[in-house]
Amino acid sequence: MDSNVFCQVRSGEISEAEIFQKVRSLEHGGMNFFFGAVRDFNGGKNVVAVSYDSFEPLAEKILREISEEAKAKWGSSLRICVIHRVGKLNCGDISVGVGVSSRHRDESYQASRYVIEQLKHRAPIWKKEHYENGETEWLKGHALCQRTGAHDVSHEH
Amino acid sequence: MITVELRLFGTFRKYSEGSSISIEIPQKNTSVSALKESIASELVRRRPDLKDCNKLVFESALANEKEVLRDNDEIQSSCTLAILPPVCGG
Repeated sequence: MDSNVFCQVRSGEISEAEIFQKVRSLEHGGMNFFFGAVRDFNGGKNVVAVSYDSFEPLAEKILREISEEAKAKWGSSLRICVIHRVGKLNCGDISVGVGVSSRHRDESYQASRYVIEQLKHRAPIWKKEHYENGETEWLKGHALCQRTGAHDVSHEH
Repeated sequence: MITVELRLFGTFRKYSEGSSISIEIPQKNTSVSALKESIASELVRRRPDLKDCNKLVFESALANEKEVLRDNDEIQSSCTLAILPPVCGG
């Protein structure tokens, strides 16, 4: 496992300092951080909280794959940290954090954007919004792509 | 008879008070695509009041803990899988 990549799906809060410490390096002059937070308004409704659900083992594996793809594109020395929360979060809480460091700023900007966009399309994570009127709704999303090749899958759980 | 223990996530959690359901399939070599037919039937039986169940099942992926499966992959023995509706993390 690449020690320069840290990917985790967890219920515990996301600390900006933790992500900073995971990616900082004396070799790297550029660091880029993205944080996603729970909004209080979506689709014309007042949101009071969001519950995140995840198939965690596969989600962490896919986040590592995405991170490795970013390293292949923008440099093997990149340090990448991705943390996504599960459970019920209040408005303003940080739901996802992505940190990338690189020798120069351009790689970390691009890799950070790549990681968060791919996460939204590929990581098995879902959110249910809780509204002011007491109703809830699972949000629609992106269908997962299938890998290539076919084989017996019963023994891989 | 093969039993697939199917873990439910996201909007599929509405179909059971637990986190998984059991799906019985009669024979080996059942494709993922055919398994989806059985899953859709079972979910409709459980919650006939919920609309678009078939569409949702066929828009969803089946997966184990290591990978997302293809429709022509085959189930050879009892196992645990997960049904993953379209994703929306972030």
